[in-house]
Amino acid sequence: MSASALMQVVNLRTAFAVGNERVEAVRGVSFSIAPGEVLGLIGESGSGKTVTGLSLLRLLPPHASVTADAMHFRGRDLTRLSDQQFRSLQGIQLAMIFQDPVGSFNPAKTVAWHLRHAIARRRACAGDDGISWREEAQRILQDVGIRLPERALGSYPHQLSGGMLQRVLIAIIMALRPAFIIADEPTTNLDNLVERQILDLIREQQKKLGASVLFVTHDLAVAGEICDRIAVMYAGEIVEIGPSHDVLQRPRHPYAQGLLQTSVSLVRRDEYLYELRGEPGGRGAAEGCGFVERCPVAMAMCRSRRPSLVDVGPGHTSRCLLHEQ
Amino acid sequence: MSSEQRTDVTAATLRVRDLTLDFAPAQRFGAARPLRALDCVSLDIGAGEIVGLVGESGSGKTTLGKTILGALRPTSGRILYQGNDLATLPPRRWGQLRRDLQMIFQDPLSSFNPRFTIESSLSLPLRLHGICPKERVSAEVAALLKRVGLGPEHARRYPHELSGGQLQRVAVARAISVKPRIVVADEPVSKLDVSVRAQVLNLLKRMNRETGVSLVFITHDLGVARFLCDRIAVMYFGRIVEIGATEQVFSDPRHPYTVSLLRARSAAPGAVVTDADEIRFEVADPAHACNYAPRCGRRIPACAQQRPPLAAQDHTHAAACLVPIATACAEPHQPIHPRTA
Repeated sequence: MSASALMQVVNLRTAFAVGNERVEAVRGVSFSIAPGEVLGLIGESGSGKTVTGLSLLRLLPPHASVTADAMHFRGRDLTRLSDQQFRSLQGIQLAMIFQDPVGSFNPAKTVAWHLRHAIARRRACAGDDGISWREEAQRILQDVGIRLPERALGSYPHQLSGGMLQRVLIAIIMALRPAFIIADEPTTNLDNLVERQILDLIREQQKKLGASVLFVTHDLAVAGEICDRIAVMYAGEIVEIGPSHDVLQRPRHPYAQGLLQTSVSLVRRDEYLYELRGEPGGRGAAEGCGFVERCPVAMAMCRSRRPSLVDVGPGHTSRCLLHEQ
Repeated sequence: MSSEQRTDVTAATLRVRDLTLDFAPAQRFGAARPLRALDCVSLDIGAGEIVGLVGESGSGKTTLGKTILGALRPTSGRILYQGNDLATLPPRRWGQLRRDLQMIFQDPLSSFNPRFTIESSLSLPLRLHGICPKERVSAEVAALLKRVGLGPEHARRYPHELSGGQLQRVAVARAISVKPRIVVADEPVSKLDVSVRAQVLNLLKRMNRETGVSLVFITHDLGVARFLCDRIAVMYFGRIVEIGATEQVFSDPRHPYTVSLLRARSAAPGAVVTDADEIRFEVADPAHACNYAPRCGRRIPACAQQRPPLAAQDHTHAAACLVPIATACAEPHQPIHPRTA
């Protein structure tokens, strides 16, 4: 897998200095993404999924320290690049779709301005296509399902709905033609029907572009629809990773199993839902399992021994001491 | 669970009749017409019943909830409760009625005073409404916390020291502390993490079963609505377009909008038939047209000239459509992971 991977991350650790303390938000995350593959990163707030994405793109504030044994992207180790070298990849090779589409735009500029700059940036690196930027912009807007591209081009961000803005954002990404896209909860603020359309659109455009996507979400249903593989994060670690279908339908880690049981009880229309006890956001001890406080099958040794990822199926690994016995 | 008794309209605690609410337009950008947030909404809330209001943002579900509680004043229509019309009742005459109607908000953190401990937040309504003698307040707070699965140690904490799920449970405790008749819960789990949503949903259901309090449950999540609600009202741009017993609405939807909402969460990619371009749909004259028509695949010329009434499909199920889907639609395939796990 590592030979054919577009992006390979080994032992990513991200920590924040909070006062005199050092809080580790990502605690040794490793994964690889093949060209054209969509990897889902799911977890609840505080699990480190968003920080993982931001760490890859060097978008964290200065008080964050990011280390990794390696971050291979198309044969280059991103950890060795200077900030200036890295900036030449941002947007062009590595792009990001944020949760809040409004915040991704300059409110004082029109959609045309945003698209013109994206197209100019790509052309500066990859050469001219011989058509005017406006013609290309219209074509892309039509591609992302905007029927009146001329009207959209003249609009300011506040004049468009959230779903429309997310479409324009996808159009900008299409204009840049990156090889790797991080999508951080891109549909969380949208209504069900619009969410559905945007998910379909992301999948369709991603195929067209042949890009790899790291899809960050807290929503298992969304992940199941769009991802080829899924990594479940808890307390800064990947606790389970494998093919989408296996992770969602036959999870092995107690946390993922708990989430599945809740949704099964919802579908079965039980009188009461299956509950995972406790509260999210626990950091877990330095030694021992991060999930131990909430785990329904915790054992005494879970507090003292740190589980490692164990193979539980083809391409499917899970981090639990139960697998190691 | 006796759903017949629950949907019996004669047992209605609160009746909403032809409720309409217009928001005055901002004057800055010329003369826009007022925004009709609620458009002739009628709804009964039975004793001990859980009514779900579902719809997209802007459909008026939150506005309806707030209007029922008297937080917004309707332009016209009536809200009948215990011989009073809440729509016109002046604030000073609410008195006891305030205690009967309570609310749980979407964002738990912003619905508590950050400078009050949990104990002070919970004891205030107890004292204001004289629920128990002064010397019993502290014990009552502890009992309330216990009922929602929290310990006495949480009483001394401040809101920011609790997680979202814990705080939402405190919000439930606060709402039920004054022994209300109706609680409006506005998207109470949408800001919570997946793994704690089940805790709060179970709690709401248990409270309903134990105390017989009626719930108006506002959500955009159909899976959650199906779990919790006895009846569901589907809202679209200020109107109720379909209302009925939960299982009827899910297994036999009549309004095309309900069908696309149900499909949105379960169909194969690309199967949702709605307009892709959501530049605001202009309805020539909403008073005399179906406002869903511009997005609707089933529209006929009459849809642009006539407002469809909320017509009974059978004795407990109604839809506002001139061309309702007549035959029972097969229930859409259920994904193993619905929206809320």
